[in-house]
Amino acid sequence: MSSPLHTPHSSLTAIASGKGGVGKTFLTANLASSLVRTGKKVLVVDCDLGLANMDILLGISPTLTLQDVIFEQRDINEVIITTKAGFDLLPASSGVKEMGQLMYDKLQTIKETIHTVVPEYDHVLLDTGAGISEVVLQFNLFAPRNVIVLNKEPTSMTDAYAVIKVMHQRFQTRTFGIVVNSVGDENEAQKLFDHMDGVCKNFLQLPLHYLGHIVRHDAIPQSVVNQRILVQEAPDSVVGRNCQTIAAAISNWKN
Amino acid sequence: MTRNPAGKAFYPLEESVETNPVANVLPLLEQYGILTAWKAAGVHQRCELFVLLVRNLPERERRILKAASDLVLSDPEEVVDKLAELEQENRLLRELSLTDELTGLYNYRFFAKQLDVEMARTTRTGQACSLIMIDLDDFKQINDTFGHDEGNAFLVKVTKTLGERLRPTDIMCRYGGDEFAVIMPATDLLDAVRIAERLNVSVSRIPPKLDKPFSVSIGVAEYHPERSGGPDVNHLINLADKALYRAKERGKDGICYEGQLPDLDRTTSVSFDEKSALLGSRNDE
Repeated sequence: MSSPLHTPHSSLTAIASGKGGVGKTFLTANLASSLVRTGKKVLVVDCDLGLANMDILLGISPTLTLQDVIFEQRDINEVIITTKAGFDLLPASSGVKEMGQLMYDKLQTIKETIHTVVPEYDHVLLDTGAGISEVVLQFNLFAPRNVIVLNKEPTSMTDAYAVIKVMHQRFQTRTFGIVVNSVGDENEAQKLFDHMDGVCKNFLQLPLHYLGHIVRHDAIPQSVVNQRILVQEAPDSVVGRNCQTIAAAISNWKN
Repeated sequence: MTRNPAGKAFYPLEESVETNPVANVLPLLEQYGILTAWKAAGVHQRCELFVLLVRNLPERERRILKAASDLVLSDPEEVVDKLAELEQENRLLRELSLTDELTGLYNYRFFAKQLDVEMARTTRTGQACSLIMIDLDDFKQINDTFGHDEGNAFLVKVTKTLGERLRPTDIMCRYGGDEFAVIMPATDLLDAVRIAERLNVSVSRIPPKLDKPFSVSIGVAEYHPERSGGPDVNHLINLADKALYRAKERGKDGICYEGQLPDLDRTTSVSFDEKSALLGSRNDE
């Protein structure tokens, strides 16, 4: 019943960052919530295997995870939970560092499993984890569109570029959307994007898509600490509107 | 008349570096009929040592010459002794010297000493330092085909190219014939590998001597005060050497490293130039 794996479903969007700690999980949750607000049915898959933390961000403690589906043959529908933010979540187990590597052997099974539920959703967001491990790359490859989250930190820039370059060179991926996090204003975000876009055009002959930005705001760490979804709590705040703008850009994003 | 600096046989009586230091002794020599030798040496050639054998020089002229020279000797016996003494001195100076004559780079002697210093500094500051070993691929073949002079000239060109792509704090040394070592203070393995990448690319642009692109093989190792155990110079050299050997084994024109990189994919994927472009003018506004 599922579509062939080499033609990724168009409702899939992978969200990666290269460097950890740039707000990828925050963005994913708030994008999902934004999409829900526009009446879409959304599934978030926590692919940050080994360091999954979407459940923590949402303040939930799932009893079953993706790992149970893979290793214990549990039904995926048993594992998917509906969050208070209105989107569904396929959580993953966290804390086991080696899990990332272990999961690599099971990638095909994971992809097939996810594919069985993809048709039920308008959007499936894959929170793919930081770094460029083989697992992360494979999850990025799983979606036809890749969102890269970055901020102005040098390591964030280089690591984001590394993801783009590896994906582009190894898998000829061409569709990268950029979200610039932690900026003062749109102007700053645009400059940062232009810079990254310039480097990618120059070295990879690859133009990028600008999806939007999120301003630096105290409300963000606060919402994380309080385990609340900012878009849901304060949809008309600056950050809330930032997230909804990005969500709209992703919805309208033609490959 | 001023005394001449050590090492010069004659002092230039007029302050001109362009003329031969013995130019001013010319009239004196003329007087004693030994001008032929002087003319053969050429007025505009600079020389460091000029030996005159003069017989029966009157005392006054002898004093003048002596004032202009380190070495006015009375008889042939003295000449032999003096030469032996000079040769010994020369050998000592060469041993004390820290640079390589051909390339002008630091020599092995300096390298060993400096690596010791850098590793000690690492222990104190807690910052890692790295060592890379560079070996020119098929340099022997270049030497065999074009001869040593041309081979040496090429070697100098390569070291210049490599040197241009290093940072001011990197210490490049001639380790052996066609092997070079670069000590990189306060540089972790990741950055050392990135610089090695940059070096590897830079030499590929040198017009090749043989009918294939010129390349180098590079081995990289890091000394980290917390991870690497005690500061063992030989151990670090061995690691870098081992990596270099692997690079050679794997078909040359490549970089191998010993140790653990923070993220293998990240390292191999972003070149130094890309990194520079990413971080370059970004903060200028």
